[in-house]
Amino acid sequence: MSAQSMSTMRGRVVLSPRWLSPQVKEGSVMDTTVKRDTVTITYNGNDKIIGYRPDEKVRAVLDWALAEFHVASNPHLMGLFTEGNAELPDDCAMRAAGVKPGELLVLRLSAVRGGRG
Amino acid sequence: MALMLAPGIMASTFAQLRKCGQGQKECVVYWTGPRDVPGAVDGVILPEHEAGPEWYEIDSAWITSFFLELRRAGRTARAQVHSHPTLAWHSCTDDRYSMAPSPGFYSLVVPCFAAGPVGLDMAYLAEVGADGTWLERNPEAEIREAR
Repeated sequence: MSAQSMSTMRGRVVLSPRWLSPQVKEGSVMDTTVKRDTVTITYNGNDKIIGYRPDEKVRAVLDWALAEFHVASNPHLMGLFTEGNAELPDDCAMRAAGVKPGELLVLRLSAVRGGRG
Repeated sequence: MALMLAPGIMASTFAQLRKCGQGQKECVVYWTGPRDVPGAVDGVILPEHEAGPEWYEIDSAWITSFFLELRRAGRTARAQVHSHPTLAWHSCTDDRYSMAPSPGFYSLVVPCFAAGPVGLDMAYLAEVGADGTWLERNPEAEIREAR
């Protein structure tokens, strides 16, 4: 199994390089690894596991997810939602937003619509 | 990546757009397929939505449940298909609020509330490019239906 991907019963899961690259101070004999929790983010049927710090803003995780899923169109219209369809507030810390390690989040547009205008 | 439709997908799409829109309202469906078979489309999904003569909006909770169901089933949405009252084109709203605005996602617009012949005649097709912008595509070249 490669370090970049692994198979699960739910299909292909890609580990984000961010998750694979803890912040370690070069040349230090001390373990300065920053503790990171992970969440699974699903978008249009695809999953990515992304690492985060509990005090990290939702916006930072959202930005990372947008990059991972190559969403370049109107990123300000996108949000992270819980399985219960509650949108996480961008300016909240992940822990303060109620996100639990290992939780499944949904990346999607806040609204989907069409028509003249 | 061209879309390869399973037999009957186009007819099913037109039937849904006509039945739901009743010649008076726009309607939208999503073309889905197995995640691991590039370009394959073998499903037509009618979302929970509201619509009028020149607009539609998808129910918010349905969007989340749709993505969760796609994940559970190992599938993905490859295109949105919606009807227009007259000519087919891509509006600013269509550009900004599509279901999956990532490269390779298609948007097909069908004219005249899908009242015309089943097929791509007078339809408008766009695809999300690498930079996130919508690029016009030739429907006949990008969409094929197996017989």
